[in-house]
Amino acid sequence: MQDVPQFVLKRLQEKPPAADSHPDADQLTAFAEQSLAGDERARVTEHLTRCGDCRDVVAIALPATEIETERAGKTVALPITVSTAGMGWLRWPTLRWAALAAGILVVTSLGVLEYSHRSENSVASNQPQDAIGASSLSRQAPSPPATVGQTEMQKALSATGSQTLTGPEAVVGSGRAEQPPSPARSSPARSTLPRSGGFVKGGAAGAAPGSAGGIGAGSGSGVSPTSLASPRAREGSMVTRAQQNPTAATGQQVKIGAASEMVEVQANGPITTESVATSQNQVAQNQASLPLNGRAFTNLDVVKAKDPVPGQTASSAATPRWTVSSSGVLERSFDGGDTWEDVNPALTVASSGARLAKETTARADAGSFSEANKNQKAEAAAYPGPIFRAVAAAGLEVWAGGSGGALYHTWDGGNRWSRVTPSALGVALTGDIIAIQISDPEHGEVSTSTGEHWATSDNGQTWQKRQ
Amino acid sequence: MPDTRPISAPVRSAVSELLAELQAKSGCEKIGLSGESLAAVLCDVAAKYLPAGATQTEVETFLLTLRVEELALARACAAGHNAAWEIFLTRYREKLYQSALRIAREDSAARDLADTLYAELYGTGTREGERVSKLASFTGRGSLEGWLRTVLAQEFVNRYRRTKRLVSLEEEGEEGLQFAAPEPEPVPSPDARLESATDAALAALSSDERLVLAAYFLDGRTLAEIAGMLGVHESTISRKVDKLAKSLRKKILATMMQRGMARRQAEEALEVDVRDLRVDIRRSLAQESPSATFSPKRENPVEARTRGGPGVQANP
Repeated sequence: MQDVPQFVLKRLQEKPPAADSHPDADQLTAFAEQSLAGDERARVTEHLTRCGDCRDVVAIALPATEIETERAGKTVALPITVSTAGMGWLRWPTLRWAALAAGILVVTSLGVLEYSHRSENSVASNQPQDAIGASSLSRQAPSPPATVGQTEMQKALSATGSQTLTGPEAVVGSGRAEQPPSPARSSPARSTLPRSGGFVKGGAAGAAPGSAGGIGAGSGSGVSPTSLASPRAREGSMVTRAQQNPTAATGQQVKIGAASEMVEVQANGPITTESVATSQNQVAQNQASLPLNGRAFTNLDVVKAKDPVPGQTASSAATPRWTVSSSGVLERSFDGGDTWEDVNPALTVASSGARLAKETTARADAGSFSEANKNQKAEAAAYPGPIFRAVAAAGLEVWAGGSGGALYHTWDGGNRWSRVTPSALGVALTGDIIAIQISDPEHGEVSTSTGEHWATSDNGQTWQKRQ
Repeated sequence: MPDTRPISAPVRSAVSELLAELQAKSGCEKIGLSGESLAAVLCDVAAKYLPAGATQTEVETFLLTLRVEELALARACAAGHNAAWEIFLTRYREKLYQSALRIAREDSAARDLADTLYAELYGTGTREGERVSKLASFTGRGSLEGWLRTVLAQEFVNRYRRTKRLVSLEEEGEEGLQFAAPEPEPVPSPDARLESATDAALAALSSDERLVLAAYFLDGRTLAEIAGMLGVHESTISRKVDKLAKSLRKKILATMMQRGMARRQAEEALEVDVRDLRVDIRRSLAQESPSATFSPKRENPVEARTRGGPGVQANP
């Protein structure tokens, strides 16, 4: 690229902005999210041409997910007022090339997925659990743009020493536009990795500094095979510890030309994705429809596990198997069924408030793990759980349902649950749940003893009652 | 939140017209914010951003662009409602720390940044006995998550700018003492025709194009970053930068030649070494351009040269 003559740049800088013309944080945010229009946008833009500080703020505040992907998808809801004035030269060619790019990316990612599946025969992966009771698990192949989800726990386990390559995980959310991962083309992967690990140094063992979002080093495409090579550390406690890790920093923020929305499964919170700036309207709708009791989801929260490799039997040590005992107790096993432990979802939901308060001031360290463990045991005695009749799992994501419409959902293998109350048009599910079916992480169906069938197609955020 | 600007009639009508819809959309009651409070907030926000003479329709359009759910949540938190605060924590606490890490790139700085903002959001200061939370200033123009990142970025820029400026002032002081200042060389003033041709060429560009120019060549932002700022595809920015680089030079030369300069003369004038105009540049750079230390950027050619400045000056 040619350079612009130095004199021109000098001249460009010679008009500093008026001191009182700095846009406020809301306006800068709205600018970056394409929510400004008309005169206001023109004013802010003009200010930005003159003010390096504000330009810096806008650039620094960009979300980690590659904006390109959203543009390429072009199915994201646009803000209500969008002005194309002054942006004309930007829009039309964008659409055309973006559509073409999207098509190519879809094909590429499909090919990579195929390749990565084959090359990972011996690697433990998120296995769907065996059919348990009435639940059946048949998952369709993930739709082309969707890729693998990797949990932080696995990262934690796999990061003991070795650098494992983990690709970016595209999160496919309920109703959100599928975002094709794009090959890492232009901008190099700006991995914050080497330093980010330190952020949780004080954290529990196994904090994941090692998992590099190394796109550049990886397969070169936006979708590199998730390395699920979790070591054979089987102890439930190790798993738990990793899950207790309140890492704020394992946001493997990889900025590449790819559809990377990092999925972190964190013990203390719901699955969070690095923000997707323009899906705001979508998110807004989701949030509005969430029942607020105990439902800890924020934005998009689906972990899409890998397709099961046919013939593979070993399951990842990190992914438990689930069952419901004859007396209605929910149980899980981390060692393939040899030993089982009781799980009471109601416990984590009920105590979430207290835990939150603790966590706001606590720092991540091994001390808090053992403390939390003790508290958990104490609390176990106090809460009788609901009587469960059905459980269905897809990797670490599990739905358990039972009497009185008790429906619980976990996304981290059972450490943290939220209570879900399906309701449609003002009517709630109150009968005994006797069967749960998950066809893919978004689509599921719950059946009750009274013959009701409730279905969701957005991972449980909204439900429809089938007659 | 007290707003001294009076609320005009169109604003009031617009708010009451849309209140039911916005109330439902925001779910404000569930988090402890009454309909009246929401209405007051909406009035304030509309009055803040809209010109005084806005019509009711314009106000309504504006109100519909707001993210009322997040606005309600933020204001409920600011008002001290625990339910709201819990939701906020659940949704945003982790993101706050993650974003801080991404921005500051280093653990302790990131933690410091995040903790500071966290405290401000929670509201540790008091004004007249009432807790003052930064969330009270969120107006829902953009997403709450984006706003948090922006506020983090602002704090980050402020901290490192302040430090940087202090450093440069010290440097300048040192130079004055260490190097006996010789008679300053006469600084050649740029050719007047060059100046006007350049100004004309820049003025002919759109604001967006100037923004791309500044972000790419002055700040050293990557194509991806600029694309993100403007909400377009990266390749669009790439093409734009190319086009700008080629066309600006041509245009300026053409204008100068129109004004009577010979081609060679014009080319020479355009290629004036900015070090000769160093004084101006250092002054404006100190004000406007960020230091490369704190952000991963391409090497800024202008800065690179001027960093060599003081050394050059000192040598006789």
